[in-house]
Amino acid sequence: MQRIYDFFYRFRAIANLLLVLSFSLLLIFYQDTPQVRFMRGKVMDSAAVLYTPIEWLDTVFTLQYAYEELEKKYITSQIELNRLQALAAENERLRQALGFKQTSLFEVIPANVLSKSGTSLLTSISVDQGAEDGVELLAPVVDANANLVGKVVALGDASSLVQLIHDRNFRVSVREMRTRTIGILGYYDPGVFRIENIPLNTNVAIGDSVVTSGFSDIFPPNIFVGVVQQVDPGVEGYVKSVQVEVATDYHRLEEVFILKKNES
Amino acid sequence: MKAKHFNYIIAAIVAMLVQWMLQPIIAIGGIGPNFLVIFIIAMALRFGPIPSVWTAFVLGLVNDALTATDLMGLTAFGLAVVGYIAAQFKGHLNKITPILQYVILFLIVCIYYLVNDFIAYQSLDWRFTTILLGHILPASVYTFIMLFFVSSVTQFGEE
Repeated sequence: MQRIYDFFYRFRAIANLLLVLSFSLLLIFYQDTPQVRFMRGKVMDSAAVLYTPIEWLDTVFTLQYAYEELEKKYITSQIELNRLQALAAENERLRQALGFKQTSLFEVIPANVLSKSGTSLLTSISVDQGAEDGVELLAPVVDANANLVGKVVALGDASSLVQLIHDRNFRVSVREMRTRTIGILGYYDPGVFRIENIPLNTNVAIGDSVVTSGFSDIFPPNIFVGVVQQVDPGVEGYVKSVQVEVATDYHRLEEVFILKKNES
Repeated sequence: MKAKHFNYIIAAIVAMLVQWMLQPIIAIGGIGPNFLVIFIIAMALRFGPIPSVWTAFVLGLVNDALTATDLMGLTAFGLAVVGYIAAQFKGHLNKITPILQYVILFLIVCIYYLVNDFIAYQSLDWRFTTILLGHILPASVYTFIMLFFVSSVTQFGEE
């Protein structure tokens, strides 16, 4: 017994390392379990508590500027809203005439960005709204200009983690507005967003707008994503790919809006 | 609890907050220094492998919980390896030339990014050079510069 003890004592450092590495690997392989998700939520909530005073201070210093900016936006948005309301009424009338179903609407939950984290390819933000505020897992998130920001990937009681469109794992079904071409947008190379496998005969051009297609349970249609930046010929000559400049400026995000499906 | 242990707990919290809040601000093109790596190296040189490996595990887990990584536990893994390797130089680093000291510290930082990036990006069919030149080397250099700066200011490391 003493020998075994002596052996472990002698190699205690490497034993501790192996133990820690084993725990880490276990977590990597079993991270979709409810226990790990619960732990993640608790850590996020604790971190949000730490960050709240700093975020409050930041808000105090930028409040006047933010108010002026919002006032300007409110006026321009109000004019645009009036125009869109007229169009929506006309659209609704035409849809009814054609027998289309009512499309689902979303409630908007405003949230402050608490922190931004990640590497060049793993990017996320934590926000100060969580399950208690009505946020749901995989809820879409947009910025103040209604550009696509990402989706909620982890939930705490009072905070949420949002996976950004800039994350290498993020994929979204999109539609090019002018030609109505559909594809999957992803972050394939460093700094480059691309829609792959677009038919060669599709007339996509630089400057065309790209929006969400609505062909998923997560994102509603017509959320603005970005504009076509470059059209690349396909390697095999059958398909081509399109580079997209996304509209969201990840580095300047201060508040976001979480969309919640309107049950009514 | 000794005062130096208390100081290191405070330093761990500060490192976490700095990594969380300052790193995104000073990042260049999405590449920023990793203050957790700097802290774990400092801790390993002061306290040896066992405290640094466990601290690395805890800090790595907290960091992973706060990012959208689909590989929770990866940062803990990389930091623990760094903590263990750095601790092997405890008591020896001061006996070698400063140039060699910094070469060793740079290589330890590189090991963190090598371990982390090759697991994190294994699902992407990127070439080795893309990952190496696009992330591992720039991030290692940036982290090493910050490590140099922090070690000059705080005189961290061996007693």
